[in-house]
Amino acid sequence: MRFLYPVFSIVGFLALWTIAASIIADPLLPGPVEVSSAVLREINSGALWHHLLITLWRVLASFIMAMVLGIAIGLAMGRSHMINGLFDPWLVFFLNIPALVVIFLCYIWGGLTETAAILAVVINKVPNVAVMLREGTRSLNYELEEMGQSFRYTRLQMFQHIILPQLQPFIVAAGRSGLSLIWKIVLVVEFIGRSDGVGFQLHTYFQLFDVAGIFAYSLAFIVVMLLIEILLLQPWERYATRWRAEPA
Amino acid sequence: MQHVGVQSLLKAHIKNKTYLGANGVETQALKDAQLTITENSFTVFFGPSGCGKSTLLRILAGLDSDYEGRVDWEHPPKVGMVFQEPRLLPWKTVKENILLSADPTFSDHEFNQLVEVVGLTEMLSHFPSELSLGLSRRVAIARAFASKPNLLLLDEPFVSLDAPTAARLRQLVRTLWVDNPITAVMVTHDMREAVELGEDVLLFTPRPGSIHERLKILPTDRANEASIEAKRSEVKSLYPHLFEE
Repeated sequence: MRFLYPVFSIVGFLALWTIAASIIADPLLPGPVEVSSAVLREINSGALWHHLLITLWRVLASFIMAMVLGIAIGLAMGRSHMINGLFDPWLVFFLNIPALVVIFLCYIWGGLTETAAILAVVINKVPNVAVMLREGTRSLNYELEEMGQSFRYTRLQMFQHIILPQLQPFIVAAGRSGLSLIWKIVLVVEFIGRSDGVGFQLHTYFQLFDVAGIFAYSLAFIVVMLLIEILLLQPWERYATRWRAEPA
Repeated sequence: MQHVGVQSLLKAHIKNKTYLGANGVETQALKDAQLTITENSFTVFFGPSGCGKSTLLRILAGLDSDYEGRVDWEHPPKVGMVFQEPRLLPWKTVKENILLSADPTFSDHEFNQLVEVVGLTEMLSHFPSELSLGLSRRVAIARAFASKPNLLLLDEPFVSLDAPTAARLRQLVRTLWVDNPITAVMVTHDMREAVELGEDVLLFTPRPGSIHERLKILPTDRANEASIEAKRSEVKSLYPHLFEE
């Protein structure tokens, strides 16, 4: 019975939406039917796939770069008091810069280029990853490292088998919160300074006041991100934590 | 087991070892501790808690280099260590835990033989969270032997086990060691353990620790329950201040 509640909730929402749209009867509040036909129109023209793939590529590229950089910085800060002291003020600084300011500055200094766009997203995300990984590094089990040291593990073995598995929950958490943050920023970056991608399409439909088009692209992208969450991130998390005892 | 042509694996002289406690007070753990460890012997560090015996073991393991003094090795040590806590990697199965630390020459045949002796054949694909403390200790012991050490270090490996489990594990270590005599050093505050496993028992003075006396344990001393108990009482009557109970 419990699995039916979300279904009721969604069906109920769709019904309310249809009724509201038919009462208001204005193109500014299109109903589910109009939105679906907008989605179909964009799919048939090929535009949806084109812009979706470009946005996905940007999300992926900046996600990977932000994760790698953030993990490296977080690890270094968690391990060394000196590095932590040097970077900490800047971490606080970058955590609090408005995303929009970073995007503007990247575009102004780097031009309206792909590199500037990706860089802007990466700069926005790295501090979050670094903070989470710093906490993870600080909670590393010292006893296991000593065990590895006594058996003369190589640095690579130490990292691969002792440190990385302990950081995995933090990396997964940073990855999941990171993905949702990154795709939102990517859309803003595209909105402001790119001529393709979902953000650009939203910009176009915004100027046309085409709400059905705006809904169509938003929905399509949310669906893609949900699929990534369900098909990639959740299985990854289950795999990464498979050794934990089942909760009693 | 008697050794002819006795050769030492290491000579150590720790002049001074202090550490900073959590309260900021400096404590002297070792003072003028001198020892020689003979190759292929089973040495036991015995003494009350806090006498620096674990500290000395950690120095031998290469886990602590912040001391005054020196340790001279006859040849470079290859350490296999069993800690007080099993210290298994929770994300690795029993088999992976053993093999990760195994010597490159450790063969499948040796592996099968080892896990058979240790009694882990049925548990190889389990994760440490599924094991009792006794079984986890077995894995830790197997891991140390699989690394084919020339120096086996055991830091109170039977602590906080129930008596029958502890007895079985002592027997296991004894069997493994008799089959494959390597230089072994074990820390304990239990004289029974010392008599059952050790050949040389080094008695530590209370803090700051140094080595007070060297006892020889003979095969006749560990021949049976009665002889073990007799030896234990004898040592206790001679050095009551080194016993905690």
